[in-house]
Amino acid sequence: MKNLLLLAAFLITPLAHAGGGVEVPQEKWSFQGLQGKWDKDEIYRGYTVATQVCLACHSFKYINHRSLMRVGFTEAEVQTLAKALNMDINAKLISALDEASAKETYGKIPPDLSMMNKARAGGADYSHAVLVGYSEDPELIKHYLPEGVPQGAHFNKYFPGHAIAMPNPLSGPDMVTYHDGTSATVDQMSRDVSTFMQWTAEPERFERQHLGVYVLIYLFIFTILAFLTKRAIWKDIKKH
Amino acid sequence: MGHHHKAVEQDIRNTYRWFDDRLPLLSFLKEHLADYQAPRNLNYMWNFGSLAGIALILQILTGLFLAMHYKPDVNMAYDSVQHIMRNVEWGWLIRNLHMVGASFFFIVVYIHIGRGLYYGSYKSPREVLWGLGLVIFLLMMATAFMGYVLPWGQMSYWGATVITNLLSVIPFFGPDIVVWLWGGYSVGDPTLTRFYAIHFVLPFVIVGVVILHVWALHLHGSNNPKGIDLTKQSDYIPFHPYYTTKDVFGLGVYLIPFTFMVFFLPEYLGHPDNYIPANPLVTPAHIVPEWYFLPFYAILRAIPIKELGVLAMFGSILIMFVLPWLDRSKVRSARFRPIYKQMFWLFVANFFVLGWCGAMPAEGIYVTISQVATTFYFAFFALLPLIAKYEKPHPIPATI
Amino acid sequence: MAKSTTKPTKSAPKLNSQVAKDEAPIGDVDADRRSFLINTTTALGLAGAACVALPFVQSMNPNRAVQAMATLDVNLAEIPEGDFKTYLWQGKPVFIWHRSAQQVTKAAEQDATATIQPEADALRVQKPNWLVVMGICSHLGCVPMKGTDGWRCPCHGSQFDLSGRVVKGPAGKNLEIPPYRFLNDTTIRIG
Repeated sequence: MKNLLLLAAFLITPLAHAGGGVEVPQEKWSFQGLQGKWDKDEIYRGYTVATQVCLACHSFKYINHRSLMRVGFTEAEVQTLAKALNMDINAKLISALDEASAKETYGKIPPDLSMMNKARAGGADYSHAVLVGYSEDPELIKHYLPEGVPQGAHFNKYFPGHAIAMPNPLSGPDMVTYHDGTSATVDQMSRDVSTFMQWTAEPERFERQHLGVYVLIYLFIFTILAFLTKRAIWKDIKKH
Repeated sequence: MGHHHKAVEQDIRNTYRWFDDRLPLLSFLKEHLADYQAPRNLNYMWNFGSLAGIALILQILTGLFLAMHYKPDVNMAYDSVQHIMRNVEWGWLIRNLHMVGASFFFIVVYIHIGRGLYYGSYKSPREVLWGLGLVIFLLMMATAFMGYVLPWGQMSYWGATVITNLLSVIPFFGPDIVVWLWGGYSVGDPTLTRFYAIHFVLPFVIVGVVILHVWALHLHGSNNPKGIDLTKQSDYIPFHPYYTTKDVFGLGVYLIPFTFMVFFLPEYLGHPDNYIPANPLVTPAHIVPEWYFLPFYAILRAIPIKELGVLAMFGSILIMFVLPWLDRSKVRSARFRPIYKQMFWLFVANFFVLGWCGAMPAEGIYVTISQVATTFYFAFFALLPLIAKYEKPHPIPATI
Repeated sequence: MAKSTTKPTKSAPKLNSQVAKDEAPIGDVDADRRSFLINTTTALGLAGAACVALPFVQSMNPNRAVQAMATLDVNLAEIPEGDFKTYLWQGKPVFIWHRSAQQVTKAAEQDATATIQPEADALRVQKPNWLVVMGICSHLGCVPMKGTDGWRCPCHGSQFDLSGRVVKGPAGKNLEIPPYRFLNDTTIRIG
């Protein structure tokens, strides 16, 4: 009975996260698991998409070029990247699109993307799904939106409600040129920028996990010693 | 060398005596933390009291260091949390400890309350001890609620709106009280700033009540798994070194899952919506409080009439204050109470069901389940006098 | 610690006067047997606690945002010859003076009059035209005011020459020179 209750306790919380909409497919990411890491080239590619595509409308206000030094960029490299965008390395990545014209064009201010992957259930899986979730297929659209796509909106299979104000940002391949010659397919760009967004949302991820391993090892040793000490001390007490 | 060593020891002893003669603080602490005579047969369920104390201290410490970087202003609060996570050295660690620490504090306190329920620790002469514990629990809930508002995400904002609106059911003065509490006509900057002030000070009030709680405990001594009064000195062992070492071991066991969550799954018990900055114009599709409030949230929503729902929710905690007078059985421990024991486990299972309902949308079958579970929650208390009357306890041992 | 546990505690529990005074349930113990365990656990626990304290202490250090502002790049083209500007670096004022050829000559002549803390003007500059000094009076930390021939501190009247050297007390030291370097002909990085 007690074990059942314990199990129930652990089952409750994830249920709390269940939301409506189409289930987002689970992808493999370079940052997953204990072997995971921030891959500098991948972050660089994601940065390329983020600054050349996303930044037109969205900001990354918790990120500046200096932050990139946390994933292995040198100061000279970030200076060059910043200069190419005519930015100071300490300047936040703020979109050139001002709020008034954004409201006029899209009816709302495009959300800041730095925390997006933490602010949506599914994280990078969700971002990737939405970025590749656009479709013009009338059958598919009819299936999800029998009433048709509302005025000014765009069909997206994975966006909650299936009608999204954002036009397909990755409408075709080769919208960017990668530094490492990787072919810029839509899927590739989407994965790269989703990884980038995961990094912007939790840059401390691997500092956290690497330290965590050592802390847990320490705690296991300490707890075993504490148990042995406790047992040795309790040996004093006479049994009845 | 040996003589010198002895002389130093003598000096220390003299200094101790001199100080203790003027302020017996150290001997007071020794009396209560080292020499306290505890039953020799306490099981690991008795670890959770001191564990709760440690969890409280950890929250106060991490909170203090977060307060050095946090800004209680609607335009800066969310940013300042990100500032802590990104710019402050070890900021992410301190915030994760505080965030996960709140959840684990509640886990420990729930088990601690459950232990009291199972072994009848609320019964005479410990009614006041039990009541003080419930006061701590209520203060914790208030503190945790206000703390969750501080990051100023969507769940912070709408949680604050929904919960403070509950007070509007107070007859006649309700709406005015809500406006007074907000310091405005909706949850806003004045609300955030005062919640921060209260969130900072309440833990110290909790420390005060904890001192009263321990005072009341030490007056009549700890209950024990058999629930019987101890009769001879051989039933007792001093707290130190026996329970201190046991508590240290228990602390290690506690810290392993806690640390695991802090370093590997810090967001698991949170909600992604709270990383969307607060927006007074858009309510999230599905408002959920923190997991530790879910059972009470389910009781609130089980009753379609707002006033009654609020009454039921507050009543579900307040009724625990009269528990010692509802349960008139002379036997404390559920070990010797066959019917009460079954009821206890049903009550616990029902509490989980309520928690699950609280996480589900308030519609369809979930409403029905919450209503049944809410009914059982109160029925448990209502049935206690009858159980006490008709239950045949197992034979009670004379000694532990 | 081990020693005290070998003896039963003498005082009966105060909590209940009806408790019978029989033997305490604690037998004889070989203290040495477990002292190793106790000492190791205690030492490991204390070391752990010390490690936990470290992040808390370090969290009060200058954070990344503050560190990012630890250096300041100044575009010297902003300052015409003969002109002078004040910049904020690490929360403190820095004076940058674009000295004319005439002022450079005069500053070198003033080497003779700067007797309180003698320092050659040539050693106080990297390029003779550019004087970079902290705008903090070496007396009590006020910000000196610029005059034609140097600075005068409004708080207690200390005076500094064209090279920022003190020529009249109460200040006892010259204006400090912050660490800086020329990134190119028109940019310097302070810090």
